[in-house]
Amino acid sequence: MRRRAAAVWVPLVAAALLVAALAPLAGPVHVPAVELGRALLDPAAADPGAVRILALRLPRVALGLLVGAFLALSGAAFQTLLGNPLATPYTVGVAAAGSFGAFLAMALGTWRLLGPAGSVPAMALAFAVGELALLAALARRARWGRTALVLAGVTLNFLFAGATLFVRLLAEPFTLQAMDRWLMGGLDVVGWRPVATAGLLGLPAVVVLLGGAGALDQLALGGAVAHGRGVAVTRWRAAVLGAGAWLTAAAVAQTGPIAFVGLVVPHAVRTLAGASHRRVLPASALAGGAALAAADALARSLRLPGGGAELPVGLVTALVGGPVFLLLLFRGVRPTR
Amino acid sequence: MTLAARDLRFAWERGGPDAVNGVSLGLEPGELLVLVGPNGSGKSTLLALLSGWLGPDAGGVALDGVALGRVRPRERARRLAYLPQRVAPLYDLTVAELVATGRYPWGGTVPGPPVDDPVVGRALAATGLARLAERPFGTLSGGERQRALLASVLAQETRWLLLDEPTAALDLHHAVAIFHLLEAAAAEGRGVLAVTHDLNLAALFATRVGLMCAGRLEALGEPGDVLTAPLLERAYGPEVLVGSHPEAGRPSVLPRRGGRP
Repeated sequence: MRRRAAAVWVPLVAAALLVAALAPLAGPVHVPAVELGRALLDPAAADPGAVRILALRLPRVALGLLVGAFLALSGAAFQTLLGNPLATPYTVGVAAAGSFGAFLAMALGTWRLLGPAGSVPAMALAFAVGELALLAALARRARWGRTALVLAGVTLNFLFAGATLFVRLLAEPFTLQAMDRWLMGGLDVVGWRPVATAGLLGLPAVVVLLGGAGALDQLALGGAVAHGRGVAVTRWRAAVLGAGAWLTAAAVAQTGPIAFVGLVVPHAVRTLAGASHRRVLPASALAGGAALAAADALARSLRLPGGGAELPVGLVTALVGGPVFLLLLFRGVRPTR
Repeated sequence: MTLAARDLRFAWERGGPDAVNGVSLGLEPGELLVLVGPNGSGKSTLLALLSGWLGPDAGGVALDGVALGRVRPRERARRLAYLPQRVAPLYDLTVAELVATGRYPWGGTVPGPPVDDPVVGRALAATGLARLAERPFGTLSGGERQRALLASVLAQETRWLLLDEPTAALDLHHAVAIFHLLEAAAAEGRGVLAVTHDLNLAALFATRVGLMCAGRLEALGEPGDVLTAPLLERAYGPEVLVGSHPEAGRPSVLPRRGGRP
């Protein structure tokens, strides 16, 4: 057993550390590693250009690690909560509601009226959390039944996705590009504030989810079995939904709905770590962070033809994540289910 | 110490027919009470009510003298185990991992049961699964799956066991093996309540038999007093023939071809 545990943690921790160390080197402007290292350790003596580049790249790498961890953790928990391997952090509509809030902010320029509370991330967070409250109220009416939860979530998801497109339809042409880039998801933030905001908001939810690993192991056997084992089923379903959705809201508010990380990473991790949530949840967080930060390094290194625009990381995760997922699915598929 | 139900009533839909209609029942330590009855007679619903998974519309369940709803979930699960009729694990656990999930109520606040718990080893050995411990649950045969699920419930080490059709879809040999296990669990002083459709297994192994029909507990008593032609005809219709088991002397139930074309 001990060796199997090492076989899970050693490669994942190594991958996360490697990405954290190498990702700041990637970008459109080549800066030698030595210069960046000097900028990190002794900024006063280093090349000012290198210091500026590092100040741009480090928060992005940190946000990638953080948001990737949040999305993968939330996806792993939702796949069990909803009893559906296709569940993602976005299945229950939090991200769609967040995007609706973000689009409203962009279309109406709400920051001019509301100040910081009207900024794109703040509006996205407010609408995502509002949707969560609505979903929780609906779930309570349905006594937290799993099917009702999925259906209510998916319906709200479609509702908000439709409303989002409606706002886009009415929006001024010059805001369209910003809206499209939001929907693809990107880590192109400036400074440490978005990282700190997402991190502080998300941390309590991370604690709840990791603490629920044992209950999730039981819930994966079905509600009746979990009840028989002493899990307070309703309370844990509510806690996992709330924590996972809150985590998703905290991430999406800063980056937009980055695709695929929350779906693919937990599945990839389960092939490595087995089914126990004590392993799957922290391993998903590690792998998700590493995967998103690596994808962002790739996105920063590639240039779109015919202009200086950078590839949104959400496109990279979708275009790379999709084939990886298919490979995972069909490699070693057995006829049993 | 009993697991006692008093006048339980439950309808799946408000204003609909009662799936369980005024059932009272007391389960004693050391007994194997087998619940029989036609499809839809309320056996599974009664078990779900006794486990607390469903809440009754009227009446109540008492666990060792305390109302079931007042016992904290973890404490309840240390005394009362429940195996529902259909269990479909979402992920493919190994047999040992599945059995270890039964240790959940005994874990600390830190989540997760250890797979190398000696109780898990004993439950695997008792169900003859030690050899299959590392096999994925999804690759097991129907009989092995039932035994693995039973092992996970045994690993919970409870005084009370509620088992919904633990021998469903099993052949004669494996069904008898499961009932031997239940008999042994009762002999250890546990109170076992099992649902089955096999009247002959009920007759052979039960210390008491409960016969359910249309949500009511029609009869409750020793096999010879419950598995009688008049009572079974009331529950199942005229297609039953009751004789005597050639070895055990207990009732033996055979189907009749019946009068209908």
